[in-house]
Amino acid sequence: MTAVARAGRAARRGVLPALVRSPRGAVTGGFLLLLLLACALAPVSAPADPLHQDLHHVLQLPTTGHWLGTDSLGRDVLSRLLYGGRSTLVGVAEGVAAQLLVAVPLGVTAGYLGGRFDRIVMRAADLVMSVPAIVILLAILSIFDRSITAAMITFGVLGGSGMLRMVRGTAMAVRRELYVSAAELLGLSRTQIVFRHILPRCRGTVIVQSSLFAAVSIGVQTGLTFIGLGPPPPAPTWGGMINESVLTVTEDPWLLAPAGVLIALTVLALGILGDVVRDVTAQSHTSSGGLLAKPVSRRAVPPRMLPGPDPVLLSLRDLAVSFRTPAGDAEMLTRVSFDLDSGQTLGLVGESGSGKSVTARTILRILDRNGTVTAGTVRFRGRDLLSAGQRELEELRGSRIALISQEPMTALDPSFRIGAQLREIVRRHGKLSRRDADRRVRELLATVELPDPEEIARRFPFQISGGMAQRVAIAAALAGSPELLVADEPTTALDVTVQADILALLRRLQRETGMAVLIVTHDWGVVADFCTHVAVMYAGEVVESAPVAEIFDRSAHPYTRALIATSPENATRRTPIRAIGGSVPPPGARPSGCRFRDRCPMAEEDCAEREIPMIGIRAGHRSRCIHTKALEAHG
Amino acid sequence: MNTTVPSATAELVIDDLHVDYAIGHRKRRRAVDGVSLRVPPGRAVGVVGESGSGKSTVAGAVLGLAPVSAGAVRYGTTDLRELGRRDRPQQIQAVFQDPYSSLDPTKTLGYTLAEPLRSHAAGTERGGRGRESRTAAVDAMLERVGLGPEAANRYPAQFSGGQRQRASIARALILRPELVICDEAVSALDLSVQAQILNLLLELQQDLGLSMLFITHDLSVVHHIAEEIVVLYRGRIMESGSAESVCRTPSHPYTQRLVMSAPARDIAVQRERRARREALTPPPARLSPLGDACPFAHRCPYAVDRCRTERPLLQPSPHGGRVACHRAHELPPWPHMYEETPAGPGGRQP
Repeated sequence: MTAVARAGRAARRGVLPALVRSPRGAVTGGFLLLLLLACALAPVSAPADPLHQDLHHVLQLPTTGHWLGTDSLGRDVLSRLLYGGRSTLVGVAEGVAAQLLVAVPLGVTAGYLGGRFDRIVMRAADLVMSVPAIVILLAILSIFDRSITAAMITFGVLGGSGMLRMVRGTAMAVRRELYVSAAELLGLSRTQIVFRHILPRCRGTVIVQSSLFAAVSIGVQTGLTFIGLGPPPPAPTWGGMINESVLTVTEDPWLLAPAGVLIALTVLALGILGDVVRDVTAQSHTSSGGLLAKPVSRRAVPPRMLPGPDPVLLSLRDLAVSFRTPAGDAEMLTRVSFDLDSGQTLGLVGESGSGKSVTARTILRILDRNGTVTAGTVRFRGRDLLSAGQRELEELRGSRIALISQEPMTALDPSFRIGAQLREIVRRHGKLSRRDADRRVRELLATVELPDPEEIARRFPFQISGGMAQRVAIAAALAGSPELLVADEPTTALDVTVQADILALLRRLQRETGMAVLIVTHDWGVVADFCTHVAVMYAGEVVESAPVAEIFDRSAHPYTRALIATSPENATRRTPIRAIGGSVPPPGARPSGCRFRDRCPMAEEDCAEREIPMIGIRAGHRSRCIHTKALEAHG
Repeated sequence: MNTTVPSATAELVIDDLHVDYAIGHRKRRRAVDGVSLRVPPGRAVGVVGESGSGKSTVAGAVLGLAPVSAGAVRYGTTDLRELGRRDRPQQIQAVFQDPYSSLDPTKTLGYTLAEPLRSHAAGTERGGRGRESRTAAVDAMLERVGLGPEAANRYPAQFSGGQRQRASIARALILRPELVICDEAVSALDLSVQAQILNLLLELQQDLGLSMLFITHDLSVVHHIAEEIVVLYRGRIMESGSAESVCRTPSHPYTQRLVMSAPARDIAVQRERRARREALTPPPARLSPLGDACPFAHRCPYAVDRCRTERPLLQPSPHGGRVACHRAHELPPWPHMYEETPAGPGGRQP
């Protein structure tokens, strides 16, 4: 529970301290706060009266008396900026407030309720979006006698349709979450659900949109006052000051700088602050902080060729893989070693977090960008896969090593017919004419026992079932006649009757082609059905490897035994199953010595003392346990 | 728990339920086609089926999440079909499959659990009066599901999938419901965690006298936890009966195929199961349209012409349950595969 406790403390930090702690947040927040205070307290903070003219000192550069110089009438630029900022910032606040008041309630309600209300609101929003805002603004300014307040409120409402759409989209997504259904079952009213569950999830969207809108509205407001549509001179406005400085730009270019730079900085700061606040509020309730670290550069493994004429098909030795996370490097795999030869089927078994999928992905060199191999070798017929160049890798992956995954649908492009996609793959493996390629495609589809190959080839991926899609994926994998098929949970997403069909198909294909299969699974039934050898993984290590019969009949590791016993099938009906307490420890929370000892019923003191090596039990049977004698006596 | 154990008093009755979903304009797809089942007070009933069998739609019809086109759905005397969300009886709660989207990520567990107590009258009745008694109720419930009171201050993202599922169970139970609908409640969990959650559900069901409708695709899970099982295929009931008889002596060819397809956790048993399955697999055929036919006729090794022209009705099966098969009484005897499963390492008690 220590990791959870740590995370718990981290989460209870407020948003503000977290904001101050991030450098971007501290700088932009500090700047905006300073600007706000200085403008609000302009009567105190400004060094001079913004309207006081001093025609003896016009267009001065900064001096000790006038920090930012004077304008063409000798007025103090700093004072005018501060006084001008008041109306600008008030205008922005009015605009943002108007937008929030209109867009958030409508957006959330439309997204949550859907139906006719949603349609009406969205058509209205479309209408508003199509109206040119600047024309309306000019009309409003002439009606309301140059009132910036009226203009900004109008602008806020008109610009609200963008935020409305974003908020509605978020609300629609949240509405489908199961916890909203659960809240409805618990009898919460719609209002309660909207305020407690929908609105908080829209917070990030609202924050970012508001800050963007604030930045835009500063630009718009400055533009309006620039063309003289705001408060009439001599009242100070930022846009008015830019306008004045433009008139004297040839005599005194400096005058453009203070107002220009301030406007630019304010706009920039608002944009950045919005982003930071969004990230910080999201961090308070996610475990990782939601940020993916940049990839670690892979440490070069010196390429060595193994001697010997016909080395084993696939050989992993002491493979270690780390992932970079915001919390630091996490070692996902440690000292993973196993061999796989032609005609064999190796089951890589383990629970989530054991590293079985990472192992499969490392062999194919398709690790996520933040993962890196830190030690060990992966050899395919003696060739070092980890140091293979991109070209060599592509050639190997396509033809000699193939992959089928848990989600066959994602491997197929929904916009092309299945036949066309397979033809592409087939032609990549050999220079075939279009007609020969089509014939080969039909052969492949027939090989995977699809009932009507001609018809399937004409269909689009979304027109076939998951089981058919997995058959198509297997057909694609077979196109290059691979020596090794890596199957990452190939039947997990399928119905049990379809799973049995797919396993039967794989078994037949293996018998016919003699290829080796590395199958990643968590299902002991699949292991019993399909595998010749098993490597059981736990917390990033292989804890036991053996021929399949040994694993089921004479397992030499307590974890393997416990995991097999935990199937409901192996317990008496409606009595407690012998479950293993706790869960797989994540990297960083793994105990020293044996990683299973916290959950192991047979753990002794010496289990903690040192790293446990793989110990040979019988020919081909190895276990990472130092108490195997006691285990065998135990039965 | 410091209060008296509540026990379900009413029966959930689903009678001749039909659910149609609209697909596009004017086309409708029948997801549930004449399903009837009962969950008597304090009983655990399992619904098992593959994707497209309509099992989750049956749950949805009880929870008001699926449109009922015909048939009755009653809990005690309450008709569940036409209720607004405010009128839905709080005696019925649900635990969903996905432990990630079933908890609001922006709320602490404590908040999530206290919310229903705070929200309405039922909460006040059930010890929800005042902040302190609410906290006490939440802590007790967290303790009950094995999380401990310190979990109340944490967010869902700080928990593993199994812990979240415990939290979902705690939320479902906080209003002391009588009937809990578990829709694939353990399907997304790892094997060792699945066993823990099954143990917890079973213990809660037995201790609190809950009625339970347990929906899953996993025959071994439903065999373990349910007392009675209903097997669905393409929206229709194929077979129903006691868990024992449905799993050990399946009477319907479809149920038999389900049992044969689930790979055994034992090499010898699995080899035999596989051989038997392969012997009984007819050549692939096209899905026959629903209507006046057995929905399984296209995959059935025993199908005769009558199976393709006449819809089989549920009738008493040779092993004590009910089965929708014209040839149920002519099928070859079924070997007792579950019984033949030898004890694995640390396996079954004698």
